[in-house]
Amino acid sequence: MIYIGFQLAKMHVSSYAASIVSSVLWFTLMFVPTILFSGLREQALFLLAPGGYAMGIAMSAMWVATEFLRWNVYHGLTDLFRECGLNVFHYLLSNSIVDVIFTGFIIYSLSMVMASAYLGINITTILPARPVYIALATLLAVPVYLLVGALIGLLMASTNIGGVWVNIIQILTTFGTVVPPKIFPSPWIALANPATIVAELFRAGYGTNTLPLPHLLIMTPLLIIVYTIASMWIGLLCEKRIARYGMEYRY
Amino acid sequence: MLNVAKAIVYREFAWFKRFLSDYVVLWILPLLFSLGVVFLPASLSSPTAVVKNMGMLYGIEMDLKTAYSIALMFTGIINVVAVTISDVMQTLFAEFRFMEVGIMILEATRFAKYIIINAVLRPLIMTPLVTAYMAPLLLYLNGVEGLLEFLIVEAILMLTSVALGLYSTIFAVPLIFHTNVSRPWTITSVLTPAILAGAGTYIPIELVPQVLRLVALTTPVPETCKALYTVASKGFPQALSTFGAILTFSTVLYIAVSGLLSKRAEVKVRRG
Repeated sequence: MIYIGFQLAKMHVSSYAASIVSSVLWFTLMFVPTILFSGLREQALFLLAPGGYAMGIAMSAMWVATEFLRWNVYHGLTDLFRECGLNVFHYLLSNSIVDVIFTGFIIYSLSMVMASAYLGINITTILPARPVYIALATLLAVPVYLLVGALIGLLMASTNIGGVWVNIIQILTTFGTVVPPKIFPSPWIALANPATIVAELFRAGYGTNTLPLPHLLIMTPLLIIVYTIASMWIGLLCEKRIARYGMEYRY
Repeated sequence: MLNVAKAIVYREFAWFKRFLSDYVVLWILPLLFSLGVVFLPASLSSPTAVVKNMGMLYGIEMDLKTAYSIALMFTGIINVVAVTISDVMQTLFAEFRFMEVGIMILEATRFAKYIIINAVLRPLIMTPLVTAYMAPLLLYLNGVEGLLEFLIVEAILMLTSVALGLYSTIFAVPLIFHTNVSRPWTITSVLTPAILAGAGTYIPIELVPQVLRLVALTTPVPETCKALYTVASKGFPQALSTFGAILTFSTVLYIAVSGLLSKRAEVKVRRG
């Protein structure tokens, strides 16, 4: 599946390149003012940018899942996938490494470089103090990507919502990621968003996490297993629904 | 000319009805973003610090209400640039490369005329549709004065959108008729944020890196941003006259270039 993902990425390399440049530019447009208005500079950057990475992963998973259900229904390919025993989970898995590790990391790194240019801070300052937590966050980002994508796939297969409403749902992923858990009455509420823990582990790399690190480290291996199994199961449910009721093409 | 205009107006309203949910998203996202740009930094530091920092950046004294009004008005330019650049280019692309209605258009009118009317009318119709959300909020925030502000902002945005429609055509015509590009969205998805980030939008343009600033300076958007600052801070209308002068110059230049490109493209298409 991962080989197929890389081949798909090669076929769409210009779209990936445009998406990377576009994401970095939107980051500077949206986050640089926020950082400057806060007056906290590096501290705000290290709180917001990891959140941006986690939110980007969740949003990307939703785009991939809706793309699978929209274009493959449109082109009549869902039956072909079913005959091969494949569903939305497998499609997400094939895209996961490219989206989470390559595209996600390139966007994050370039955004940090751009932010350092805007804020006039030394480029070495943006290097994390504890990179091991960032590696852990990236590892956890894969099951989070699979879970979020599978959930939105099931939602699209079992309701009449169109792609634009998925965009609104994507906005909810800002809570806990870009909007840090510390603004909630209890920061643990933010874990309702599966991408929150990725953002918090990423923040731990810079020492700006809100949720206590020991708790994050205990939860990480458990959530990797739980999220992977849950996303496989949700992918099957989604497929069963499409097999039984079909699915209309929706813009 | 009138029939072409009527056909484009009809098409726009038919699309508005069909894609109403897209417009709802275009109203909700800027509202959330305008709240985020003020209240997210406020949650990290404090509302007083945010108002003070914004005041220092813009060089004016302000309160939280003014800060939010500015944040809200700037969402208008984000929507206008995004919609105009992307839709003018992608509509032309779809009509001539996917839907194959180009022959029908060329049978009905001259290409240059269609291109210019499309570039002018489409943004004029879409701008009020994608910025309508600002009216009730500015009225609520600033009373009757807020409504007046909205009308001025709307006029600034509509004029800017016409210039941007023509600007977008300058990219669209060579792309459609002289290249084999099959994914026009790769260009629009980069051009839109490059213009907005280059213009500074929420921050003074002086803080923006030179390369990005140069991209934005090919459009009137940096001057639009200055005009919006002026309206929001109720400052001296000098910036508005500069905006008017630059906009007029850009529009004339874009009409000349896009007209020339369209004529060349028409010759190419009619020759087959």
